[in-house]
Amino acid sequence: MRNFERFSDQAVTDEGDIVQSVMLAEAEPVSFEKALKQNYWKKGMIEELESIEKNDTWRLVQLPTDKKCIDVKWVFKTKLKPDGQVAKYKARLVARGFLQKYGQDYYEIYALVARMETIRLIVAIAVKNNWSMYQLDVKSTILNGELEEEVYVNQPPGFEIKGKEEYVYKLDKALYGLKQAPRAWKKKIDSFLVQQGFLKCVTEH
Amino acid sequence: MIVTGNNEEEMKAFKKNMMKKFEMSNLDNLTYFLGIEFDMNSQGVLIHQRKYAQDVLKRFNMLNCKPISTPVDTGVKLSLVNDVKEVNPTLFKQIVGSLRYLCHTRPDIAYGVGLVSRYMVKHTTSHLVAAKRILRYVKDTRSYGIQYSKNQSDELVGYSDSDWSGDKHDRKSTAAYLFMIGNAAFSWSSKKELVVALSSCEASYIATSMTACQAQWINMLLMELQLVKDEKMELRIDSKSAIDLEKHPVAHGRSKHIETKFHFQRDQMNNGKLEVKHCKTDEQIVDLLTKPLKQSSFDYLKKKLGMAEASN
Repeated sequence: MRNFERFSDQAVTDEGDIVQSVMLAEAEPVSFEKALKQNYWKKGMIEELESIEKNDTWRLVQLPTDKKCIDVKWVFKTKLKPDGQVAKYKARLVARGFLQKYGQDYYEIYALVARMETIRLIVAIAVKNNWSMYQLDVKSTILNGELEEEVYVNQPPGFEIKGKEEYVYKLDKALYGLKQAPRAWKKKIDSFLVQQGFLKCVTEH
Repeated sequence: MIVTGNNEEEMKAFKKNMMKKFEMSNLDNLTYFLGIEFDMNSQGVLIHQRKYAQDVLKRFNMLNCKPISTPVDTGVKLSLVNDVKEVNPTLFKQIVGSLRYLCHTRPDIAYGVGLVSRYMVKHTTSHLVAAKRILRYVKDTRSYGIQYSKNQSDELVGYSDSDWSGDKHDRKSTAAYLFMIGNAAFSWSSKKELVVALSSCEASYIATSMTACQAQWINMLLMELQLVKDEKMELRIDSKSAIDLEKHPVAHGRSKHIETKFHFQRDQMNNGKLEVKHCKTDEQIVDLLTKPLKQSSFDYLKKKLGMAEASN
């Protein structure tokens, strides 16, 4: 195993792009009210909620009196095929992480990223030795991370459960937009890789 | 995540385990990672950012601009004071930010980008023109990247150089280093020095200390990956006086004021971790990262550091 080298990439996949566009407020200018009326957007939102449920991300609970709740919001993105046709109407539920308070909703948020120089060096060495190089992308990376902090979010707009409007979701796993989300993922992949027998590179981290 | 290694079986097993644990969307050969494209060709792998460059040009409305053959005008004089007309700060910062990301596979624009990034606080028309000139250069060279070849040698060499008080405003020098594996660059930097150097020798000396730090890190990384046993790295610089200063630790009038931290490389040399060699000025690849060059020498050095054009 010693000749293996690994990099934790911080969700710079399509999903990562969405996170970024949330930050840059460059998401599609679709208002939530309008989207609800459009079947394809509604379908996208239902798909997103299904994957969250399937992933055991959250549980419906009553908010403890001493806790605060974070808002969630919908972000819409039309994904295009290379030829310009619509590939997918993607709705992503994101937490408004900027409302989180340090010491209450999150502690550590540092997450490692690989240095570009290291990547270039490894590529050069791999090419020279004729090793094959594979690319592994995890789907909805961020949603895999397990949260240590107690974080509550409001029910997603448009999908409140009848009769339980006062309830909130307690998060067991991360949502996009949470401050600690990348770190939660990093911890998860870290422990998995170590369990697989990988060694951490001390020079690189 | 990138996985590579010399044991196909182990990699297969690892991929299987990943699939069991997570929902995966991609398990193929490395082609596109963090906006960088990996082109497999007959010689090896060419890394480039054509798509990213294209997107940047589109974003700043430069797709139809007139291309130009070098990124920086040889007579360029940017300063904090001269012309007064300020430009949209957001636009300027966006361009510089995008260009910085493009530097990941483009050492040829690293100097130019470093130059314009110095003016994030105050930017006038002349700075925007300089930034746009880099975009004009990128337009015709967007397919360029670095070629890593199968039959390159293992030889690791570092190059280090600096200009002398290139910044007309604060008289600080630009230091640069570049590390090559075989005949392709993999690590480089072009940066204004933090202190004012009194002579070109001193500027070069400070640059060498920066380079020595990077060399040390690369060596540690390679040792950990168990890819090198001999920990001595060769460093090539073209300043004879700086080499002298490294080899003969005599404190005389012109060098006694040099801060202790810049003597790092002297220590590294004594420990046998570095070997400094002189190289002719026209063989100094890192020139590309310390000053604006004429097209002929620019193109020559670009080729020398392993840059090539992606096909199709």
